[in-house]
Amino acid sequence: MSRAIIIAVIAALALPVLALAALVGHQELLLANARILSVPLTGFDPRDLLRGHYIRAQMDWDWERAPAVNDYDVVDGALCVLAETPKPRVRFLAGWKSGDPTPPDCKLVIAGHARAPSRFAPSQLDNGDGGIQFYVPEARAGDLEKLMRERPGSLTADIAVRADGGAAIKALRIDGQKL
Amino acid sequence: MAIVIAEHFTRRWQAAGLIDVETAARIVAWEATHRRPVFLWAVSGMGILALSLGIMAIVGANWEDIPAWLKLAVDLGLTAACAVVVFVCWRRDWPWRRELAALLLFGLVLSGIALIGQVYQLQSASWRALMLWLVLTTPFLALTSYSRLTGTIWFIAAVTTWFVAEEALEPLFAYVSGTARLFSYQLALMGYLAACAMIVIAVLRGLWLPAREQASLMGRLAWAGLIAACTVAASIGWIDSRAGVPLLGAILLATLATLPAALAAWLGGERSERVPLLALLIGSLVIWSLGLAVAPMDGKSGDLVRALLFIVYWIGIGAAAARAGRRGLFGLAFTMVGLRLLILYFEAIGGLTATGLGLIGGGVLCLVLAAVGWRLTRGVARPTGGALT
Repeated sequence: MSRAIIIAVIAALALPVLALAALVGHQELLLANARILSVPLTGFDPRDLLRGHYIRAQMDWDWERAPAVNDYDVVDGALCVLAETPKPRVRFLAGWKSGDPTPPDCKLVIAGHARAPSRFAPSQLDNGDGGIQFYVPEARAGDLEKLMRERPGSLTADIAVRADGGAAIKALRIDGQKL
Repeated sequence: MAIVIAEHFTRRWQAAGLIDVETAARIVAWEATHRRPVFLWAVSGMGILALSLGIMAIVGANWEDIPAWLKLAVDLGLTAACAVVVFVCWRRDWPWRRELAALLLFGLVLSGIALIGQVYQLQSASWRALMLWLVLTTPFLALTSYSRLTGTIWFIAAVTTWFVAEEALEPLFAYVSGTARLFSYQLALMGYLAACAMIVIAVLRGLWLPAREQASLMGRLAWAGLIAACTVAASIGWIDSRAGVPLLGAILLATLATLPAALAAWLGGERSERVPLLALLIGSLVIWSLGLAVAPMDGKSGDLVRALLFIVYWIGIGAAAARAGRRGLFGLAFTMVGLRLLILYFEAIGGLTATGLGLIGGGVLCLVLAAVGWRLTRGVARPTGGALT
């Protein structure tokens, strides 16, 4: 058996292991260099809150002014975070792209898509319809659904926001306690 | 099992005077030395399945109590260990252990991707995860795994990924086809393109000697996929096909995909099968295109035209099978034609009395077809190996 074949087999077998490790490292790096923003969650569509081991929700922003988006339209842009607490106060920046200048009054900018009515989901988290999937323990999914419905604002997500506007979910919390 | 079957048949042939005692003994001895450990495979497979399910159940029961870093570390460790096992089995030439370990690694990589997605709450379309899985696993499967089972599983995974990406591919297909949307034509197009791509992949795979058998089965699956894609395209009056979508772009794309498949079939096929395979490919493209073109036709005339397309196509498949000496495929083609005629019989009638008459007529038709089929099948030469069966 030739040396080249042996090397090729070793490389092919190492590829998935190294790639998975790199994926983990990449995610850790993204989280390590990001700022954390706590955003309340609300039900995304009461008829479709639960599917398997995740809940679907949307982020509950405090809009300075609602984004001008027609029904069924999706507008690319970013969310300018004006204040982080108690609920992130935000304004939509239509057409904003990574690398564009950040308005001086924005503390953070999150790249994503706006939909009607007053919905915004970060690009990396958008499930294609403005909803976001959160993986949760199956046994607790029902309780979380009830919590979102009965005590709005008690379920929050820690969003790690990078300097380029990218965002990732760092943690889910109930009344400030990590899930 | 194979040795028992071999003994049974050799005794039978010996009793009928077809072979002598020495030949029978030689056949049994050859089967004994070349037996395939089917039971070993089955028991090992069940063992691995039980082991995996058991581990999954224990892990699942305690999932929430396990820290994320531990889950990731164990998953990566298992993946790395399995990769080492595959390498050792490959180096020492332990075929069935190598194949099982490769399949296990194939599954572990997918579970690793899913686990990372869960731990880091990654939001991504499923086709992206499946695509990443195929990109990471195809190289080691191609180099270390030659069994038909692995080839089939990889084939199914690749085709599944292709169809799962349907929504993501929609804008691309619409753009290339020169239309705003392809509607459900896209599924017909994707099926045809996948079959053509798989024909090429199977032929390329067959260039590597150890993977010949695997490639042969993949080739058969690809041809079966092509026939299925064309049969479906010719059978269904697509629900939204009456929206006036221009089909020229879709047909052009299918034609472009047929060219490399035709080249692969010509260069990679057995000399005796080149012409039938090429004829089948060209016939499939024509029927697929006509199937799409007549899809907007509704009512009895639409049913009749589609039935004729179906019958013509399967008669063509039967002719190609007869030319290539494929009795099995010839029999299948004959059955499909018979079934479609029977369905056509029912499509043309209505009411209880007429249905009763239809059942009687259909039954007679089946008996006549069975008799004709028996005579025709006996006339087809025995298969000699290759892509068509």
